[in-house]
Amino acid sequence: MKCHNMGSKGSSHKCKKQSFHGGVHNKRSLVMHDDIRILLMGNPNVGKSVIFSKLTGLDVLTANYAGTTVSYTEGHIHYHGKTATLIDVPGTYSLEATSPAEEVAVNFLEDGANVVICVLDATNLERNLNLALQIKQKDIPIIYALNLIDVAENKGISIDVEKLEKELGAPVVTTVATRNVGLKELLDTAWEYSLKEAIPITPVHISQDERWQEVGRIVENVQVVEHRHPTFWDKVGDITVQPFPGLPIAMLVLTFSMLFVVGGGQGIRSLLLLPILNNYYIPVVTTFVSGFVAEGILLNVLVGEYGVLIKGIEWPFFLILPYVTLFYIVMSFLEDSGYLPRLGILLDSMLRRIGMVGSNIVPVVMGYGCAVPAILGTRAATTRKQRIMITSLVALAVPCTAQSGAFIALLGDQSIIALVFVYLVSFAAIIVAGYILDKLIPGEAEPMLMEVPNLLKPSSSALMQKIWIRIKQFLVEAEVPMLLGILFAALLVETGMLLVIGNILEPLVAGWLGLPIEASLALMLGIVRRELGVLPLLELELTTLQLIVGSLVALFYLPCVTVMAVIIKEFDLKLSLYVLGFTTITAFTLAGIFNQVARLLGFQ
Amino acid sequence: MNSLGLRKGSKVSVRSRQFFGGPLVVQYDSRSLAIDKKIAEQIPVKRCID
Repeated sequence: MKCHNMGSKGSSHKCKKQSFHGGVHNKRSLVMHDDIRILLMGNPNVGKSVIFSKLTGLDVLTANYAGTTVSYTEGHIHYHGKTATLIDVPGTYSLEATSPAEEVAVNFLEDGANVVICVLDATNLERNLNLALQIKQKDIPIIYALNLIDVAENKGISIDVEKLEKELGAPVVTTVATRNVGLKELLDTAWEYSLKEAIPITPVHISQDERWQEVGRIVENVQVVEHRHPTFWDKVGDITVQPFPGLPIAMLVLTFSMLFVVGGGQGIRSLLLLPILNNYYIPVVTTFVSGFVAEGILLNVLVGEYGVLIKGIEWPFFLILPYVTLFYIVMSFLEDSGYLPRLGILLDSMLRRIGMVGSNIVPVVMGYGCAVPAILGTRAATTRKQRIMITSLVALAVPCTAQSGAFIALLGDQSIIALVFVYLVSFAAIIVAGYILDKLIPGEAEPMLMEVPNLLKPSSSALMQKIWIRIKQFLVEAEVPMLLGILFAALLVETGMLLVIGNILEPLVAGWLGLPIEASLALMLGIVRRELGVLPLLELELTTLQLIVGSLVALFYLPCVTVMAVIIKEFDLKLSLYVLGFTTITAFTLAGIFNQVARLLGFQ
Repeated sequence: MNSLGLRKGSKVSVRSRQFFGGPLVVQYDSRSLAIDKKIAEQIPVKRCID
């Protein structure tokens, strides 16, 4: 497609990802003369974000379940000498805002636009038209993209597009967004329509029932469904939501995922990365730098024990990256196949005991990647209680992928049992903390009502793109804080300040936790990033007990600064202070008690 | 539930049930919906032979 600047990401179009504040948007002033404002709207999980990323060439994350886009994303398209702003609006089932994400959609529509592209899911025309008829009531020219037309055909659904155009009184473009089919036509139509003056519509107030009747009449008129036998994936989709064999399958999926990340990561590191690091990278860099820099503090800061050029490369690239990459491969696969919501269904009755709704398993699982998207993802949850619970649990006891990588590297080599133990403690903590929070925060867990996406074989190009976006994000976000943290560590070690601070913290670190005082470094660095609360322990020769205690502290310790900032932004300062308090207290209390008890029992 | 497209007159089939009062998965048109058991119990249904 030559219709837009694909490939030159970030240079020719600006991307602005903005959050909303309490659902209130400033009313926008009128659009500039030659700037077209296009809203991409529709039901959840119909492919709006796929269309958006194909049209703007911007990186946005997509997945096969409702509620992937929780805030809007804005991108620019240059086409036929004009620039348009395309806005990817979160999906909504109706225009009655029931969750923060849906409020965003409603506000956008009120702010106005030159044209609305309403995306319809061809496999589910009825429900999609219900929203379309509501949007049609607004004074904005509207065109339709009939997406997923390929899936519909496979299911034996055929739709008469001409008739549908007549019924809706607007153009309908059939698309298969994941394969770029129909997108150019869509853009042409949008351009043409953006020039039209909006014809003032006198809103007709019809009741919900009347609207459904109208929808029913249209569907009857334009759609023919031919009965097809369920496909292989349909059958698998059905099986995975039966308790049996669904639960055993879930166990298998999760176990395989873990083995893939842990085993694969260990394999890549020991066979490929460590030889490169130890035989080539470290000797070459050390020799090179020693040729220029005289012995002393500077040399040590660069290539010494905490050398910025050594650890600053080793930790993110040779240690954490393999696990992060493998984790995101698994995660992206689970997301795009539509499996995660099924897990939520199987676990709903169990999660309900700790006050959580099954559908919220999705943000929790995302937390094992990174807490930031997990917390933002809670916007799709309908109650504030659920949002606060997920946020607190993720901040307290869900290690992010970078921290998991550090745990595996730290514990995996010495004792797999220790590694398994730390994760069991993490699960137990989620259950206990969930139970307590459920009692503390007023409100009931709302009943589950969730659309179950079709189980699909993920498209490999979409999968690759997604994994790449996430790895890139990790590297961009991790490298600078990691370098600064390591620089800070090197300076503390080289100037002897570490021992001074270590002596101050001695009663806590050595007395209570039974760790060498140099471990205070992990406590300081752990504030910056979660994995930095673990990695310094690698440099100390610790016993298995000390490794576990150090890992437990890091696990429950406060989440990184970025997460604290996100909590303040999404909620308020008060909640972030609570999180800061209970995570730190839990970390020192639990790890300390564990240490004391283990020592009493004679472990070293 | 109305805006999810499940309403009076919809033809549904129950695809799965869970233990301990977990949600039901119900199929209608070509879509599936997970519905809390408590809500599902309140939905009047009529058996139809197909």
